[in-house]
Amino acid sequence: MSDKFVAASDEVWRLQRGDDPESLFFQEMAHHGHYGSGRGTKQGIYVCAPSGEFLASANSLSAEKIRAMMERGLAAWSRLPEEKRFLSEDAAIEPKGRWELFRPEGGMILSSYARDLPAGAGPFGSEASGYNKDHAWFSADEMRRWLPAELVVGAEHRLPVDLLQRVLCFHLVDSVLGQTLPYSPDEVQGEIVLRITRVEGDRCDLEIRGRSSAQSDGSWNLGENDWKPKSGLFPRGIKTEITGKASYDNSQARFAAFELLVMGQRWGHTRFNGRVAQKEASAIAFFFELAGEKPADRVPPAFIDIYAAAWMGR
Amino acid sequence: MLPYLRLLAAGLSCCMLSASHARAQLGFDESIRHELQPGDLEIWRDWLRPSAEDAAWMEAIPWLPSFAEGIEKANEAAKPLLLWVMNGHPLGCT
Repeated sequence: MSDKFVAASDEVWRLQRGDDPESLFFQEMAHHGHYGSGRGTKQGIYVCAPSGEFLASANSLSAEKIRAMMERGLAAWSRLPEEKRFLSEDAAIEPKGRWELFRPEGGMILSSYARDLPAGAGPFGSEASGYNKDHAWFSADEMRRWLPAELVVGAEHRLPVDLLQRVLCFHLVDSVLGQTLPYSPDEVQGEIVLRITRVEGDRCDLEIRGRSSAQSDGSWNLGENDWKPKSGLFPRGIKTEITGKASYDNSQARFAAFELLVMGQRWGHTRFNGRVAQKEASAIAFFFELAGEKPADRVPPAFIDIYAAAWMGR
Repeated sequence: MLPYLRLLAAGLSCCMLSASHARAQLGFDESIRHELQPGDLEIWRDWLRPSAEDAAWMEAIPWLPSFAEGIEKANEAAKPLLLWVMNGHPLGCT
């Protein structure tokens, strides 16, 4: 059935409250959907015409209900007069201020995956649990700052504190079961050390070691932004050990390979990260690697709006 | 010790410490060990990456990553748009 549609996905928070052309176009369509025209969430799955004409929608975990909704959408599309189907020439949907526009081309884009580690078992014979993913962005200048000044065997380099804090505050967070809150710089400590193990021509190999600890008493120390909880305290923590390897191509000024394994434990919960009922600490792991070039790889990091990096331009 | 054996050991320790677990106090649990060993990267990498089954929904359907791109592509293709929107991007951290 999917070949009867063009499929897209997006972050709803900006779309449902923004005043840019793309967001307003979405709001006009979604106000006819399952959550109506109120100010609440518009999460869900929609079928609409390219003109913005609403056709069907639902928010359900039931595959059958979604299939039925898609069939209703196709039926409505088939009934829709030709003149109401397509985007009018004067329609404004141009995205403005999307974080994707700040993707640091020429920098280092990492994909990260977070999973719970199995208790009493390992990767052999145990099925992995659910996972969450994210991206971590570093500009070209920041990517170079992952490296020792001199690319010679044995050179060691401690990741600068601003980049370390980006990793620890925004990427080593317990989002396995759902979006969570970041840590503030004063809540994290640790180190990531890179050492060059081999140099051959323009290419050098590095090993990466490190550790991290983050602990929050639940208070919010990151100022006024969309992540600030409206109420409640969320004490939580995570501590990890880090290992990895990378290969840097000096002639291309880019990493040809980058793999980081992070294993440790987390405790506590936030409002939406699915840990409310889990009172005890448990094991967690992350894996980071270079992102690809598929459309999904352009999705910005969850906490991009509080990266506070100069290259983001706002 | 291989990671799964370390975790098994940790699991046994957890059983022995069930009384303290029953109290379920917030905070780190010293019985959960996480010392990394040589070879762990290779051992755990493929387990942590999304499996083919995990990623099937993204691989089988060419999802575009924004509403505006979807509208424009649907307009070109003369098809309706199927749009999935969530708090947190469905193709990213959600």
